[in-house]
Amino acid sequence: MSGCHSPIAVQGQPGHLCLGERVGSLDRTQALDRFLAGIERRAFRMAHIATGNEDEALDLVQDAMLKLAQKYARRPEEEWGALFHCILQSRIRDWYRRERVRNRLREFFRGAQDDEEGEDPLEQIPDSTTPAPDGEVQCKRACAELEVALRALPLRQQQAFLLRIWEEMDVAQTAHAMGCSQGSVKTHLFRALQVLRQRLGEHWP
Amino acid sequence: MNKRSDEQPDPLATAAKRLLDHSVQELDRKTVLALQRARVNAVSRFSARRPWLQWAGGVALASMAALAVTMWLWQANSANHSHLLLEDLELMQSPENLELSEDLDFYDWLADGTATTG
Repeated sequence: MSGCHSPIAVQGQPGHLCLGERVGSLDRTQALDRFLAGIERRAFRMAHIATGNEDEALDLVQDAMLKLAQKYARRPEEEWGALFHCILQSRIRDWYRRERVRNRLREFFRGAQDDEEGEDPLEQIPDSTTPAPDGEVQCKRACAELEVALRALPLRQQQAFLLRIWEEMDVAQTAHAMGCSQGSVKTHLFRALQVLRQRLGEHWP
Repeated sequence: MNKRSDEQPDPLATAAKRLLDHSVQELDRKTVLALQRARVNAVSRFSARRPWLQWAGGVALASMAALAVTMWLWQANSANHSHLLLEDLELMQSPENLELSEDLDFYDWLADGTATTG
């Protein structure tokens, strides 16, 4: 990408880009499109689990895509996955901090009168011990239970679980994406698994 | 993404991974279309971006800064010597001086000293 290897120059085009450079740019554009197409749904699910809001999740994923395309798309393709998750997790952390400030302000103005209204989100899911009509319904129910349990985790535990278990990133990559040490990743994952076992029970899924 | 082959597969982790993979396929059409739009937008930003534009912008900015510094220095110098420049200009433009410089015979006569001796 750095040099122009083709002797044929396309005159009259913006910047008089040589043919080789234009073809390389097109290849990279297609590669970026393929990469984002392969990752966008999983990224959305991650952001959705973290925020609990579809619109917020879409905004976060869109921001991460734009940032990758604008700043890092010229880096080697092998680095895109780690870079994308790094950007996305950073955006999620920023969102989480803003949300915490908003919640504190809301609580400050609302007072402690609504404290008793909070319910355990797990209680809202139907009892999974009753026999399911078919596998599909059982799968959906298990998925809903998992999602609620994941949302109840502290953000760092949630990130460690999703990146290590779902994305199958190694400890170093996860630490880079989360912006913390490798030891912290191990601790967060261990605690996340403990909490999930307690919450979901032995008979899940 | 590397496989974690050094560890025993955790049943909970395995089941969670399977369910999360399944949930990705269950996304509604509206969300999938919104994600596609976001992707097309991001890719189009990349393809519209040209690296030489970054250089061009930098060069233009540096040129403007250099021009501004040059003009500032020139103004500072011209403020100190402005009276000399004005005097030179006045001398050059004076019709009297121009006539004197053209009358070379008169200068010769003055140099010979004929004007004083008689």
